[in-house]
Amino acid sequence: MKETKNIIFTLDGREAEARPDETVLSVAKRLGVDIPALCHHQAVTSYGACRLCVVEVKKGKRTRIVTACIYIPADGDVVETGNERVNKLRRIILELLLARCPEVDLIRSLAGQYGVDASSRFRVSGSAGAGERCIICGLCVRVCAEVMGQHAIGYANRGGKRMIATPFETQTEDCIGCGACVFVCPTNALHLEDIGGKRVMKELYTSMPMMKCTGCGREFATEKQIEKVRHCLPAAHDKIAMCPSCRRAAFRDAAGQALI
Amino acid sequence: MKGIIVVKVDRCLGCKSCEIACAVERSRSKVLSEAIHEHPAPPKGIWVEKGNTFVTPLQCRQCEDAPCLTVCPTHALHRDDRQSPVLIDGGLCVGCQLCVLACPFGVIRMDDDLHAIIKCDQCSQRVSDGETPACVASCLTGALEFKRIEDVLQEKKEAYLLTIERSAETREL
Repeated sequence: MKETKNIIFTLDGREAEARPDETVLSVAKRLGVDIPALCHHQAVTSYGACRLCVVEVKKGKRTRIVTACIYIPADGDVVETGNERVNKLRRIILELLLARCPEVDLIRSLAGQYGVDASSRFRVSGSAGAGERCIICGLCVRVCAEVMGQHAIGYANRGGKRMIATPFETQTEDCIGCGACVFVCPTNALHLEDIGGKRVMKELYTSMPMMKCTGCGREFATEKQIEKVRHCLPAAHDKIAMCPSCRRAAFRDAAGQALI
Repeated sequence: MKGIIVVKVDRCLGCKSCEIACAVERSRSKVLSEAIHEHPAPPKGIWVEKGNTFVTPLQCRQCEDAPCLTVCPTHALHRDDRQSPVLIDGGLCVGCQLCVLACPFGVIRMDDDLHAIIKCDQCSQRVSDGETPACVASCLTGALEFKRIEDVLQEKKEAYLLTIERSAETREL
């Protein structure tokens, strides 16, 4: 039989209980302990990319630094989420993030909270720094692959040139234009715009045709999004090609008919 | 109490009190005079739709076989049981908008300012506190009612019996 005993450990001086597969970050959230994290989302597997959620774990005489979003505590662990060593590390991480993305409000406000000087002492090479907003946390990549099942985006290049991109930096057939990547991006590095009957995501080299509502003629979703909904709903209703406001009108009229 | 929001279309005057009450309930202050100054503006989950000859409030029907629940890839949309409202867990939502496109009634929407999916949750907090949903409480003409399904059925039976009785009376005359 599978072991289902909960783990008892110490979190910031108080006793905490974790389910066998629960991470420190999840327990901390449950108990109202604030740990900053940029690359974490409940709907996808943790990746430990942004490193902001670092915490200190003491086990007997050993002390080490781990990322709270990945680390699964063991019985008797003593976890400290905001001591001097942890805060010092977070300050360095924020300085590095700030050097790469000086214009991102979220990073600036976090840096302010931790008392990091707005002008970072680190210098970046290449294109990063000027207008760069992506911290390569990979939330978009994970959401696209794990949640939507589309695998439309991934990482390109290595080292300082690493970036989020579609294969060969061209429009990909796999993208349905749902905008989940844009929604989850913590730093607003991705953008989605509906212009001239097309859904444009310029950072992802994507411009795809949208569907016109059969009621009012307004473009309301991409053709591939509708295809996806049809696929998920085998018994799709007849209003699938209508925009939400026309669907409301159709229902209203049906209710009116019933009155007569 | 587990119930449903029943709409009596012939009673709606289109005053939109329900729309305002819904937004106020979703505001931070929960007071109208403060809610109107909040930014981002508090959202509404009910629409008063105007037809040619009538108006009617529309909100989530809490479908028994809800398409939004079926399409949600992260189970951010969930419900306790078939008679409970469909709720959204913002922490699990990835903003793919499949629910928006799946809803046959067009009553789920993405609020770009709030960065969240907005739908009627039947004011689950108010209901668990023993109150009626905000839209129902605000309706001046009784066009919106919050009732248990059994009570709705009972009312319909009684109304039907009444029509039979009346038609019998007119025949006797």
